[in-house]
Amino acid sequence: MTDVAFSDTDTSSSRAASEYERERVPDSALKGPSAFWGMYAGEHTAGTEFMIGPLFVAWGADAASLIVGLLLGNLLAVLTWRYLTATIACSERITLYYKMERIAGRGLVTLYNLANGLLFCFLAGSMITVSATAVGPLFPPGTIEMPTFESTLPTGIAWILSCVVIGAAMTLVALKGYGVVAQVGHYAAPWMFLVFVACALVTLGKLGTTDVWQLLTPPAGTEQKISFLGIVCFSWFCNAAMHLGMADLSVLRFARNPSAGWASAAGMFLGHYVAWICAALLLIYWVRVHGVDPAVGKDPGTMVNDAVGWAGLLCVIIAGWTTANPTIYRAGLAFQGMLPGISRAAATLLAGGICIAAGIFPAFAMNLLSFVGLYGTVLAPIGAIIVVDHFLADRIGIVREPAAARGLGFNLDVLIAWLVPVGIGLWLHRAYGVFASYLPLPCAIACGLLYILLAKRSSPARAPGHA
Amino acid sequence: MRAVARFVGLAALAATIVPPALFMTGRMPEASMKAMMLVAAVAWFAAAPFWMKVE
Repeated sequence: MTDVAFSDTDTSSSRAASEYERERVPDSALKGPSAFWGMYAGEHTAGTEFMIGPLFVAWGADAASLIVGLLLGNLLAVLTWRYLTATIACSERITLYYKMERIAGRGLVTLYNLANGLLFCFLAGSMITVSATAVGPLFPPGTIEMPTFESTLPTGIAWILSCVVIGAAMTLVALKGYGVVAQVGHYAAPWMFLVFVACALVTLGKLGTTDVWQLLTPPAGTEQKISFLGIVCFSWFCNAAMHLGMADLSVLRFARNPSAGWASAAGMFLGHYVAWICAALLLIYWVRVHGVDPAVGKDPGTMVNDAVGWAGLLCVIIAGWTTANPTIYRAGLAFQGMLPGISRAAATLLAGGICIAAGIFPAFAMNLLSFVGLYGTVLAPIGAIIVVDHFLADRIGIVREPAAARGLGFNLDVLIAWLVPVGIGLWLHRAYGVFASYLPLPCAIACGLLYILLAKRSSPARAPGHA
Repeated sequence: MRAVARFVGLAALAATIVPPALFMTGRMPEASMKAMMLVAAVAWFAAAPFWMKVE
């Protein structure tokens, strides 16, 4: 997962993106499908994949849910990218931020940046946590106490130092620029994917079986905290901010045609299917052979080091680093957008500091299954407003891009339509323990409907055409 | 140069996945498998920049 829409700050598409922040991408800047296949494959094979697979095991997911549920959920994610995000991106050819500004006004984009920036920081913090687990095996056993799935607080001074050193290195690189790291991520992608597969092969060898279905079947009596539907929704919406939430408009606006949306399949089926199942097998080995309690788990660094040695540790560090670094950079940009008075460097340092603080506390990484659902719940509804504006506004008689049409700095209709369903969703999660991945879709639909109602009231009797 | 890098890169990718497969089938000891994977990792990162073009 984990992955973050690097959009206009990471890859080459991104560098070009900064040239067309407030205008349509010209035909001369459009890219063929190969650029997108590689990008999606790289972005979605991240350090956090080492956490998600084992967390499924800890939550008692069964074989059918993992093998069939993940397949279905990832397919739905690809279809969302292809038929919603890519369709709108190739029609509008502008960034999410500019589209939002035209609908919601500049003031509301600032609020979105705050939410986005903070969520980016917590996500990057999880990646720092995962990378820091690769430091432990480099020292004698017991030097650094590794966190478990039950850890919420730092496990000791040595752990804090590991996170601070790794997080500071990531922040310093983000400060200098992300170009080199983006390139390393691009180079690392095929190798990292093979390391995931290698971990699974070694695990199967050590367990003396190739019956993956049987291995993924939890022992009788295991409490199942995540159902088939839960797995489907998790894999569908773990990147909800990018597809349903339209963050990937910034990337896909460079596509020659919407079929580039199929490129997301590379990320989903390699990173979010094969890699998750491979990572899950690592914990299953430790449960069966070393008697580890699946609810307590084992840190990724130790498991990967045991399976494939130093190459695995390198993979854990690189997978975390190459995705956390641009995330810190983007969080810095979001904060800078919010606080225009501060420099890019100061904003990046602020973001890096928050990321390191979040990384020190394993609670974020260990609750990744819930966190990414909440991430989608907060950001995906904005996409529903864009869907209404793009597909429905003219048909139902509401003004398209109302902030641009009326010169609004802050569109209250959008704010209410966004915050009311999100507030209810977060309350349901907190008060009733509703699984966070169930919330992005209903929140997005409710947000779209509420926006239609509110915009209808604000629209003149006869809506003007496209602004 | 690019052809050499491409050959080294492909060999490195093969050396990343073949040793674990051989270990799984009991044809390679664990220590050799881990050593080969590390060498393959170094070779991959040495070759990839000369081979893989970032658009």
